[in-house]
Amino acid sequence: MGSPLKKIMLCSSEKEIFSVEEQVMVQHSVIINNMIEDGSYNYEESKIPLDCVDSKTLKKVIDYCTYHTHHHNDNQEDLEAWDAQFLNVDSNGLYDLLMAANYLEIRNLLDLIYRTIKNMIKGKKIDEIRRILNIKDHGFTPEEEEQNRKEYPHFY
Amino acid sequence: MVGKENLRTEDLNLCFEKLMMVAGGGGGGGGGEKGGKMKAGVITEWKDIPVELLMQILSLVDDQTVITASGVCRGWRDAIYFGLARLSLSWCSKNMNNLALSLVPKFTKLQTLILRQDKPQLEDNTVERIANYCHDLQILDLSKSFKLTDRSLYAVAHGCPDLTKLNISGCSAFSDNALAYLAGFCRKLKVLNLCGCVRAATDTALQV
Repeated sequence: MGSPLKKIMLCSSEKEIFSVEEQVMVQHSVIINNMIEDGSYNYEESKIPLDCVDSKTLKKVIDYCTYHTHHHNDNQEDLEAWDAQFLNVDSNGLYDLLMAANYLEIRNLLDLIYRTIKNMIKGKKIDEIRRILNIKDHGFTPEEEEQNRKEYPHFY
Repeated sequence: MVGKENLRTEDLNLCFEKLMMVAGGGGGGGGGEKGGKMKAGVITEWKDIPVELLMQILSLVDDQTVITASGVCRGWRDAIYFGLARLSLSWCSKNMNNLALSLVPKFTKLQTLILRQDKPQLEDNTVERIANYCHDLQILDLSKSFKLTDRSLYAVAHGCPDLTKLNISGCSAFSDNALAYLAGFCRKLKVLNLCGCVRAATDTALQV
C-alpha cells in the first residue's frame, strides 16, 4: 500500500488529467492496485490512460473512492445515504459509472450499482424498464415485437 | 481479464490499450476495431451491456423479472437465452403450462429448472418439448405434477443425460418401468425424490 501523500495521474478519454491520492485508488481499484504493486507505474512520468472513461464519469469515480477511503469508519446509515445521493444520476450516467467501475475493477462500487439497478427494474414490465433505462432502440423487428406482445401480454 | 504477468512485462500504455480492446470487444456491439477509442467511436448504452454484467444484475432479481428482461431488447434477449443457467416458474400459479411450453425451450443452456406446482398444471407435451431443447439440465423439479404420465419420464431419459437431481414427488402416475428406464439413461442421477410416487417406488426401479 502506497504512502498517503503520493499522487498518481489518471487521464480521461478527453485527455484531461486527474491527480489523485495514490491510496484512494489503490484501496478501491484492483487494476490500479496491481499496477502500483508490480512497479509498472512511474511516479515521474506515468499517466494512466482511461480512454473509455470520460471526464465527468472519472470525476464521479474519484469522488466515490475518495469519500469511501476517508469515511470508511462512518456508520452504515450515513454511508448508505451518501451512496444514494451519489447515484442520483440519469440512466446513461449510471451506465457510464457501471462501465468505469467494471473497467477499473472497483468492487464495492460495482456491487452498489448492481443493487441500485436491481431495485430499478425489479417487478417492472418491459415498457417500464425500457423507459427507466432509456432504451429507445430495442433492436427487435416490428414482427418480433408484435409477436412478443401478443404472446406475452402480461410482461408489457 | 488480463493477468498480472502482462502488467509486469509490458509497457504500461500498451497494456491498457490491450485492456481496452478486451473491454471494447466484450459488448458484442461490433465496435471493437479501434481498440482504445471505443468511447469516441461507439456510444454504448444499456442495451449494449456486456453479458457478464447483465447476468450479475439478473442474479439479484426474481425469475419473473429475468423473463421480463429477456423482452427488453435484442441484446438482452440473446444474453439471457444463451446465458441463463437457472430458472424457476413456481411463482406462476396460472397458465404455468403454457408459459413453460413457449418459454423454457428458448433457454437452451438451463442447468436447473424448477417447475414445482401447488396446483397441478404441467402436461406431458410441455415436458417433452423442454427435454427436446434443454439438454444441459442437471437439476429438474417436477414435483406435484399429477397430470404427467410416463411419457414425460421417457422424454427426460432421452433429452437430459446429465441429470443429477430429479424431484418427482407427488407425481403419482409414474410407473415402475418408466422410472427404471430413466435410471438406465441418466447415469449421473444421484438424488431422486420419489415421495408419493405410489406406483413407482418398488425395488426393481431403485435397483438401477
